[in-house]
Amino acid sequence: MSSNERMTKITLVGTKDTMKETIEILHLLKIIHIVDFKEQDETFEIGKSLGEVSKFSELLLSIRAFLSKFDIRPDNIKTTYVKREVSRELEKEVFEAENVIKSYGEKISKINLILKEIEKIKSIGDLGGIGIQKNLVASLDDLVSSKSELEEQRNIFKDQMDSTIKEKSAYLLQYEDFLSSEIEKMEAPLRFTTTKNTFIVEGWIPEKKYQELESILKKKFGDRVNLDKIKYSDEEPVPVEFKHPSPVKPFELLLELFEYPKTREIDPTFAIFITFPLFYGIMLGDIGYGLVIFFASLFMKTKFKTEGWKMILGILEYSSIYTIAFGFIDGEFFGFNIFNLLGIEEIFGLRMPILDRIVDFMPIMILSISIGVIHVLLGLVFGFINVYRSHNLKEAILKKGGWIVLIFSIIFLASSIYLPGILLYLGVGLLLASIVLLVVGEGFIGLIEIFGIMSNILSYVRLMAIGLSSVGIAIVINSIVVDIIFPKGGVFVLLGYSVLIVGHIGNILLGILACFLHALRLHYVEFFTKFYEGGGIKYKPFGI
Amino acid sequence: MAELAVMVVVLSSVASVILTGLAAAWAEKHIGSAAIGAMTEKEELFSKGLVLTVIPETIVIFGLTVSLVLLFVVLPQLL
Repeated sequence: MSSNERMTKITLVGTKDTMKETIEILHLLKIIHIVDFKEQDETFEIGKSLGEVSKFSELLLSIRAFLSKFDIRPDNIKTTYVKREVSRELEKEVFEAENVIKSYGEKISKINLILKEIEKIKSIGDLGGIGIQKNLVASLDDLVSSKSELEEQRNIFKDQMDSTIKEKSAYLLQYEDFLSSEIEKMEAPLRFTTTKNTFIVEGWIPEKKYQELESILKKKFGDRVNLDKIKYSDEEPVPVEFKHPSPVKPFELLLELFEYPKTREIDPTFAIFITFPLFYGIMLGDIGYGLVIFFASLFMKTKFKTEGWKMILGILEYSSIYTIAFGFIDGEFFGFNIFNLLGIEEIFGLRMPILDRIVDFMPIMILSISIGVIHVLLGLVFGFINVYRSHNLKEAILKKGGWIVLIFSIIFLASSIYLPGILLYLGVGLLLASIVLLVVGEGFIGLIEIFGIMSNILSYVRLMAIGLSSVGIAIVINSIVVDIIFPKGGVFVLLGYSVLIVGHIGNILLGILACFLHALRLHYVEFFTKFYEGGGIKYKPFGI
Repeated sequence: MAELAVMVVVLSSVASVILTGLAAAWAEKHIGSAAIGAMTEKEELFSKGLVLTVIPETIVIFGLTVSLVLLFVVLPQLL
């Protein structure tokens, strides 16, 4: 489960003359997560930036303004460009391109001004007989009649400008990238500790990269730069880098919204990957809605390319697959009972639909609560492992063991309704044992908490209730249209279709939001509280 | 006697949805305005605020469940 990169805290001490080259190396390697130095005193102070940052910043600002004015973005261009490399030719190319594009822009704006004036002159109307010389009137008329010519010229300039932008945007972007990385390097000492003759970098690197970094520094500087591992306390936030396979990746977002895990605790992303879409699917459960969300998120993935959007859409995509699957179980297609409409009564001897959400809400409620019991139990087991890792077995049994036994006693007591006898005694026995454990572990306060865990489990009833309200709205829309509007015929058929479309779009939007938030809530409030501590930070290596 | 019991059950199921709905709305109103207030200070709190805002919805979900149980489990036994 803890597949994430192991981090180790390091200090890097060197003489000041090696600082520039060290920064260069660290920037190239992109492995160190620098911890900013804050507490200054007489001997240790924050370093000063290298070189003239302000000149570079000005350049960067002007080129960024230029890029945003002409809407040049990395995902808009086809050609690839080499990052972080710059040469004289590139600089020349960039300035030339800038000038050419600017001059085209000026020409176009001039023509636009003239066109505006022409419009004004036109609006005056007849120019004769107001005491202007004849030849002047004639030339003004000439000007007005040359409007189309001017427009044509403007379009030519525009095309030329666009093609220049297309051609040169790679250079511009490369230059922008170079400038920003250069500034980052120059400003790096602001995050270091410096004394009169030395500099100290504190930070985190992945443990397996330690050897590599050490040998590189040794080769380059010999004894002048020294790298060391240092101890850190448990309270310190350790940067976390996830190493998840790509299907699980989008679900990191849900942890990012909450808090990053500490390195030692169990990373719940994989569990979320399984349960989140499952809950979402149970709640929404409609073939039509699932298909709409699936294709909508596929489509939006081509439009929105930022990291955050990709993750949200990825989550929605997985969730919609579960939605379609549960749609088959519930037999719903945009709120219509699809198996009834198609006249299918059973498949492979199973009654279709397997669970009708309106009629069979009791079985679904029991299913929801069972899922709740399993989910809470999973959270407690995670908690048990966490406490065992950070403390010891005794502590784990006292802190989490009592709750786990309590859950098992609930399971036995609940199933004794159907199968009385031995299960009942077992349940009561476990309940007593768990009460003893809770009192020993958490004091009498622990007993009050039993109601807390009961309400946690009952909270999973929402898996049924949210679904019921969603399918309720869908059925209302359908029956308004099919039973009331369609029979009137004529224009009302069109009206009926528009009500169907608008109503179902609204219900889908509501379904996306409500199901997402409630599935999220079940994880944050019911699941995470059982084990999750959080307090880690995101791993942001210097140079990226 | 049976009629009175039926009436009580039906009215209870109505009351459980109405009252829990109002309660959830009231709670969400306060949380929502607090969340918006926090967001003006710190934009990143949007996601946390959104999740916090739906927390009291549990009340109305329980209300709905109680009302369904009353109508479809308790009521048939009385009739």
